[in-house]
Amino acid sequence: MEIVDLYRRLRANGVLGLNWRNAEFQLVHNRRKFFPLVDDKLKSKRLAEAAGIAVPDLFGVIEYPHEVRTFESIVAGREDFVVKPAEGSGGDGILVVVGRDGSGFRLANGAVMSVDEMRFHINNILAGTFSLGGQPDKALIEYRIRFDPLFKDIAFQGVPDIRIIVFFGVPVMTMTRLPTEKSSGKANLHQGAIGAGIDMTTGRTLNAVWHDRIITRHPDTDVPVSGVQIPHWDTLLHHAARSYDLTHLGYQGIDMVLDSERGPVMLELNARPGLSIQIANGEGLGLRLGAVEARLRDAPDTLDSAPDRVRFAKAAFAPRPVALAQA
Amino acid sequence: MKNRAVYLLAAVFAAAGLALFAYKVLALEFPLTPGDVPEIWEVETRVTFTGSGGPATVRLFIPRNTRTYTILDQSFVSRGYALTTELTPDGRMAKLTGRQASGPQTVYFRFLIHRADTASPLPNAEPATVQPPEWKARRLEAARALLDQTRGEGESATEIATALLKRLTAPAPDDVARTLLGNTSGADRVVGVTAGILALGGISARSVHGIALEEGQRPVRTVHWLEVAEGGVWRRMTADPAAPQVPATWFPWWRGGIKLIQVDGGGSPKVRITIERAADQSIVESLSADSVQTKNLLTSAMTSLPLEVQQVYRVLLVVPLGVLLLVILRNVVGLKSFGTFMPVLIALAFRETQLLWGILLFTMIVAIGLAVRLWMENLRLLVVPRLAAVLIVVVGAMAALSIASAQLGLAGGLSVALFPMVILTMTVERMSVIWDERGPRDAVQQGVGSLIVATACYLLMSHPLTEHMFFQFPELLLVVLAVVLLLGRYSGYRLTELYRFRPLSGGGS
Repeated sequence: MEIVDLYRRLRANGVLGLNWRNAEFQLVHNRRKFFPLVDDKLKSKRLAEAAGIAVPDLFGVIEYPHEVRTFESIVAGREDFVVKPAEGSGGDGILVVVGRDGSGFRLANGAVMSVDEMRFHINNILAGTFSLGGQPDKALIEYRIRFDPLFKDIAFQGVPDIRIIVFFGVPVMTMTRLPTEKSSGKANLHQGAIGAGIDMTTGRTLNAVWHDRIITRHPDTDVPVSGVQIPHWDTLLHHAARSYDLTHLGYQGIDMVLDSERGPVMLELNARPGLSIQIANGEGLGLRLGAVEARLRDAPDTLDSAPDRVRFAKAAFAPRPVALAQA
Repeated sequence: MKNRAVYLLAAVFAAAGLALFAYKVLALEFPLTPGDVPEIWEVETRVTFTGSGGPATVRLFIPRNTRTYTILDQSFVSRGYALTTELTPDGRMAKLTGRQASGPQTVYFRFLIHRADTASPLPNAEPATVQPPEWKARRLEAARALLDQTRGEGESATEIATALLKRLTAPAPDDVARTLLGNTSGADRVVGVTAGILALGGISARSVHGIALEEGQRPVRTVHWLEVAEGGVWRRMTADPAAPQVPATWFPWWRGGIKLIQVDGGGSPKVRITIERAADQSIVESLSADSVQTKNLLTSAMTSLPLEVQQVYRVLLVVPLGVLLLVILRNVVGLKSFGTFMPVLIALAFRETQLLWGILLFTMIVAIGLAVRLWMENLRLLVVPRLAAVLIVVVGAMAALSIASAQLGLAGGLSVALFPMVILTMTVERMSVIWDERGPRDAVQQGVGSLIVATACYLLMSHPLTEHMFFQFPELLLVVLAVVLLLGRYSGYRLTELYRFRPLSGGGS
C-alpha cells in the first residue's frame, strides 16, 4: 500500500500534521487562558514592549464605531502607516499605506483608497469581519516597517518576515516568508508568499518553497533565495526565546521583521503557527520537538535562561533535511 | 494520561451502547432492518356547517378496531367544541358540543388505519339480535310480502338475503320494491332496507357503512354492504347480487340506519372525507414496536413518544451520525468546509428537497446571495445591516425560486423553503470575505468542499437503515460518542496532508 508507506515515512521523518500538532502540542501545552495574550495583537504588543522587545510604534487604536472619525487625526501628518485588526488571522484585513495620493491613501499593492473607504474598512474590522469567530474587534494603526535593504530583491512589495516556532522557549524551527506579486505583498504562504527555511546555527536561508514546490530563485525578481544571510540572527533568536516568558504558551510562533532603522521588530505571536515551515526547511518538526522534550526531562536547568535556550537550539538544530522528494 | 481517560470513557460508552443494542437484538429480537412498509391510511373527515348562533352539537361515528383494521392516533380539531363520547347500539359516537356556534363552523376528525396483511376470519356474530325496523302500514306490508316471497327461494339466511337484494336491485323494480326504497336506489338504501326486512323475519342482519381504502378518490365515496348472521359469524355481501364479494379494501366505519354525522343547531352540514396512504416510517415503527412483547422505557424509549415527536427524533437521532462523518471528513480526510456544522444542516435540508434539487437550489441561492453581497461591498454598509440585507436577499431568492418552480410545475423547487436561511446567509458572508481576501478560487473551492461534505452526510443520514437503526436503537448514540471521543485524540495525518507533505517523505526506507 503506497499510502501506508507514505504515512509511515512521514512519521519516521517526524513530520507534524495538524492533528498531531493540535493533540500533542497545542492542546496540551497551550493553556486556554493565555490565548488572549497572542490572539489580541494589542496585548502581545504591550507585553513585548514591557520586556524590551521592539514592536512597531502604535499610532492609535480604534475600538468603537464612533471613534472611527478620529482616524484622520491619528494619521495626520503621517505619510505611511499600517491598519490591522487586533485579532485578525492569516493576515486578513491588513492595509499597508505607503503614501498619500491627494486626499486618498496609496496602498502597498498600488491601489488608492479614499478616506471614506478607509473608514469603511475600519468599521468592518470593528464589526469582526476579519477576527476569529467574528467577534467585535479593534483596529490598530501603527508604524509601517521599512524593511532592511537586504530584502529588496527577494521580496516583492510587502514586508518579508521571519517566523520562529518556539517550544518552551527553545527556538525549534525558523523560516522567512517572502511576499510575491502573487501574494499581493502579503507574507502568508497560503496566499502565495515564498517560504524559505533558515539554518538555525548560521542564520542562512536554506531551500525555498512556493505553493508547496521547491524553488531556488524568486519567481518575480529571479534573485537566488537560498544562502542569504539574515542579519541580526542572534537577536532574533533571543527575542524568540524570551517570547515564552511573555505568554507561557508552550508551543507558539513568533513573527518578526527587520526594520532598516530599528533592527528586529516583533509583529505578532501565534498560538497556532502553521506547518508549512516544515516544507520550507525540508524537515519535520516532530523530531526537534522531541529533542526539546527529552532535554526538559533530563536537564531542565540547562534551558532556564533565554541565552541557554538559544545555545541549545543552535547546537541541536543544525539542518538535517530529509532527501527532499521533488514534487 | 489524557489518552487513557479518553480511551476509558470511550470504552465505557461503547460497551454500554453495544450491550443494550445486543440485548435488544438477541434477546428481544428487535428487527435489524426496517420491515416492509405496512398499509397505513390517514383519514381526515371535515364537517362544515353554518351555526345558527346557539349551541350546536356534532355527532359522528368513531370507527373501532376489527381483526383486520387497527385504528391509531385519533384526533379531533374543533375549536370551541367540547368532546364527549357515547355508546349507541350502532357503535361509539363522538359528541362535539359547542356553546355558541354562529357563522361557518368546521370540525376535523382524523385517524389512521392500519390494515393487517393476514386474511382475517369472519367476525363472530353477537348473540344480540337486530331490532326490527319501525315501519308503518304500507311499507310494513310490502316488506312482509317481499319476505314471504323470498323465503321460499332459499334455505339459509344468506340465500334469503341474496334473493331480497336481487328483487330490490332489479333493473325494473316492481311496486313492492318501489314502496320500500322510495325514490332512492343507492346501495346505502338497498342494504338498509334489506337488513330491515331480514330483521322482520327474525334474521340478524345489519347494514355496514365505510370507505374504500383505495388511492385516487377525490372525494372519497362511502361504501355500503350487508352483514347477515349465519352459523355464528357475520357474512358480508354487497348490495350487488352479481358481485356479492365485499372487497378487502372496504373499511367498516359505522353500522345501522343513521348517517355518519348528525349536526344539531346548524344548517347545511357538509361532510368531506379525504384519505391518503401514509408512507411515514415512524408510524410503521410504532406498530412494529407494539408487537415486541417486552416493552419498557429502556427498550422502547422512542416509540413511547407521541407520533409527531417521534418524527422529530427520527431526524434528530441521525444527526450525530452525520456529525461523526463530518468529523472524519474534516480531521481524518482533511476536507475544508464553511462553518463547523453547516454541511450537516444543509444535509438535513437535502432530506426534504432530495439530493439533486438540494444541490441545485443551494448553489443557486448561494450564487445569488454572493453576487448581491459582492456588489454590496460598493455600498459600504456596516456589518450587521449588511448581514441583514444578505439574509433578506436569501429569503427573497428562496421565495423567488419556489414561485418560479411552481410556475414551471417543478415540485422539487418548492421545498427550498426548508433551507436554513441563517446558515445560508453566514455561508454567503464567509464566502465573500474569502473571495475578497484570498480570491475566487479559494472561495469556490471551500464552497464545493462544503457541498461534498453535505452530500456525503445526506447520503448517510437519509439511508433507511441508518434511520431505522438509530431510532430503534438510540443507544447507538453512545457508540457514536465513543468514536467521536477517540477521534478527538487522533493525532495521525489527514489524508490531504499526506499529499501536502509528500516532499518530506524522502529518506528512510
